[in-house]
Amino acid sequence: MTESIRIAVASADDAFSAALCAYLKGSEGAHVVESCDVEVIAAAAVETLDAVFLDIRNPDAIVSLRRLSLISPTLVLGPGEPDAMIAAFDAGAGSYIDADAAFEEIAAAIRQLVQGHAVVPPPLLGALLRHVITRRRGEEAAREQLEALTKREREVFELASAGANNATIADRLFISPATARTHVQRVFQKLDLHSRAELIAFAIRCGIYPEETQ
Amino acid sequence: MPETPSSSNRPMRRGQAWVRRHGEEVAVFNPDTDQLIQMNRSAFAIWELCDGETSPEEMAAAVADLTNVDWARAHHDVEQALRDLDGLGLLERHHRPGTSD
Repeated sequence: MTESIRIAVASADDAFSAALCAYLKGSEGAHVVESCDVEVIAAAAVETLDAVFLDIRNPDAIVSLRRLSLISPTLVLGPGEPDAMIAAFDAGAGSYIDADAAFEEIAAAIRQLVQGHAVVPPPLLGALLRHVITRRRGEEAAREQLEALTKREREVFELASAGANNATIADRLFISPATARTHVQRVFQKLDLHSRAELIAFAIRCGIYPEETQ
Repeated sequence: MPETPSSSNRPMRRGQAWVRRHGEEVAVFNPDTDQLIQMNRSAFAIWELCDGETSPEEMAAAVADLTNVDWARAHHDVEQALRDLDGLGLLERHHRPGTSD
């Protein structure tokens, strides 16, 4: 590595983590923060971290990935299986590398990630592209369904997707709770939804991430 | 010069091709031409997407999403890959109304 890069390494496998950190520290210009503690890494990321390396062979690591990927580009190491890789990208991974990868490949992948280039195991590339296409089609279909809503229903939808109950919706839109309930039911019917959880998931598919409404 | 896969087409790979993966490379045997073709994983990934349902534009959008390159660049690369695959006889020819070989 020729330029200085700050990397956090998180793996539940202590021996692996120590060996990788030793390798990366031996690379010119690499500054390594070794920790399994997401909070420690998050705090470091807020400062000057350029990338996080996260080993997701530990089942709880996907939760950490969701958090860390919001604050730093994250290279994920995991099984060489399409489902694991797709779950990682859906959780925000910037790159993915097979658990069998050599340290040299990991270091190269970190460098590419920092430069803004995603790394995907070549054998899994087709599966990931297919997943992205399927997801985009779902988003497009969801956005088309949204267009069937009236302006008022759209307002109700956005409030409900932010977690507002009928009383809050009524309050915000200056309508009665009964009218709010009717609008919510019509939104559910038009979008073929059966619960508020489905409604929130639908909103996310449409790219709507509203702030929580009390 | 092979027919250029049009953006309005949804290219489809030949079903009879025999595939063998080895490391970074993939070997595809086209029984129609008796050709054994080596291709890299990127080209193979595009070929895998050629299911007759997916447009080059969708492929390009997915590539752009994944690689952070702009859509125009991704589209150019996808079209080039499709032309290459077509030239190697690995795609079915699609005929739109009013067109012929």
